[in-house]
Amino acid sequence: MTEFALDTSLALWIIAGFGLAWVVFGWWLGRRNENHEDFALAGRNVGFAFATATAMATWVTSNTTLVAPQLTYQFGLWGMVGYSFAALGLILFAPMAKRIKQLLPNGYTSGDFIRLRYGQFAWAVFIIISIVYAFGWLVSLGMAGGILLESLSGLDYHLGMSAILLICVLYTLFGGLRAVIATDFIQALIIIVGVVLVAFWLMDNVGLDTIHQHLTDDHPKLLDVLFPASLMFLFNNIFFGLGEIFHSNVWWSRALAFHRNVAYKAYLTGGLLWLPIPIVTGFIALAAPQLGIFPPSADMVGPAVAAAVLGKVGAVVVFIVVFSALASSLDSLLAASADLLTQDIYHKRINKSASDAQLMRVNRWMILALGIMTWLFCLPRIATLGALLNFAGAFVASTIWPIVLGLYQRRLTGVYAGLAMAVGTLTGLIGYFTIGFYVAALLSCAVSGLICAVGLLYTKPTFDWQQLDEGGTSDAHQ
Amino acid sequence: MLVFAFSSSVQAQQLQLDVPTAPVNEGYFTVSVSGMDNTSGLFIEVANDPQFTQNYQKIPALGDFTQLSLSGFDDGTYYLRAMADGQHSAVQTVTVEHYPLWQALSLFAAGAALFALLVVSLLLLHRNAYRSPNNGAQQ
Repeated sequence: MTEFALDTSLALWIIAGFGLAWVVFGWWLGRRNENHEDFALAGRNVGFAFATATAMATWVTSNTTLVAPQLTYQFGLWGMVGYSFAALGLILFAPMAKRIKQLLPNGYTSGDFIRLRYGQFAWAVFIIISIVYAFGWLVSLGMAGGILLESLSGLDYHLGMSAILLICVLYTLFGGLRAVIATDFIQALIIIVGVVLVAFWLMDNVGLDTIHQHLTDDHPKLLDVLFPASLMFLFNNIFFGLGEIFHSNVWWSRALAFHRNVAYKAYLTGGLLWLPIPIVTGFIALAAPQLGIFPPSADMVGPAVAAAVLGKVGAVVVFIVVFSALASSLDSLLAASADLLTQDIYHKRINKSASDAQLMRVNRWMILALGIMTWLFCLPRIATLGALLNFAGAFVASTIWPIVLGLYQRRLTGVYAGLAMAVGTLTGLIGYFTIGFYVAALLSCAVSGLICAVGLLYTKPTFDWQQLDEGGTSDAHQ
Repeated sequence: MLVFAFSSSVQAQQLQLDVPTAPVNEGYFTVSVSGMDNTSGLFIEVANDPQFTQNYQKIPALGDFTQLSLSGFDDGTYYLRAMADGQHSAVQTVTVEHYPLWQALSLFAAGAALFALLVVSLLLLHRNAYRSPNNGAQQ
């Protein structure tokens, strides 16, 4: 019988305790939501501290706590360093967030922008990409919850996955974005303290020299800076990260919810705070061979090593940190995806005269429906987290150029933007299946960029920025 | 190229080790073991020779799991066998052949160029947006 780092019952108690606290907190915060704008965008008045914390905490996710160690275990040093470059997404989004806030002071979603800027064709392509990505991320987060519990406590994967999904759905349902941002703030503090503790204990217990010697002897490629597969993976991962942030309503809704003049500083600071976290979580994986830990699936390596080194107390710390990281992303994605479906599909397509109360109600139903669908997709454990995420890279990287040019360039038209996203995605997918995952995002972004460049060369009409302001007079055209 | 070598060993054969059936280009792969009565005490032995004397490693499975994810292997041929309850599986062989370095560096350079173009474009466009009165946003 295996000795797991955590008793199954203790793991369940931690989940129940944190889950109850967050659901009650979400309900308490949700009492202040008077209308749909409060629910979906926290009243558009989030200050710097909460804004920075939510930017950082949302980006600390299963990607950082489970996939960063996985990629380090597979790709060595470049896996670790390369993963931290995903912070570039947040940092480069900082100026764009400022621009978004100015161009769309009354906007709700990234879909709003694409529809108004590029029209129906590009919007349809964009919505498909957004939905595929959102489900990919939601499913990866749900799976990560199950994997975490299984590797630390031996609890059945399906039970752990269901518990984490249920908790996040409940408090997002009650509190909306206000609850998401407030819990993100607390979760960010837990994550930072926990990650520092794990790194300190690991270096104190195992030691850098020992780890280095063992890797040199038995796993030399993990220390090789010219490790071919990791070199191929590096920029693909960067473009994947950029695509995720640039297109996703998770980040757009925050830019729109932040107080004026806060968005730029918050994303920049959040990115800089996030940068070292994958280095720490990835480093944990390098100790695995020295400790004799060879997990059944590479995405289990982080929790398995931390629990082995830190013992039962450490396992509790790791468990809470990873649980917080998963929750901070799951709630954000649930809220942002539900906003997208409510605004872009229900409000703009099905019921244009929907009342505020109807929008609130539909938004909550969307959160619930997303939660249930995610649960269904998570039931079969279809792929490793890394594989699942890299598949989504082909989709999101195609949006990078259309988003950047759409925000700043008046010449690119919807036909070219839509084609860029569609053809870019298809090319990325072909690359994913015929060459490998390490070219999916790179090819997608490159082809999309080429089509956008052609569009800029051959398009004469220029876009009127005033068309972006649906709900009133924007300060963009003052 | 990946080669399967089915040992003619007389050791108990109910223990079966499965390894990847395609060339390993990334230096990491997963192996799994079946045919065990008791799932604890499972090890995978790895070496550079079929006698298991060169660069010998004895790798334990985690807990009750019968699958192991292995990584960090350099180019070469590796001999593997499972061991549990004093019994060995047949020897399997995995050959690791990393991608050519020129191919990796070409992709790296292409990615770097595209990234540089994106960053420069974004920064220039952002700066111009706040300089031009016709570009939607004024400070």
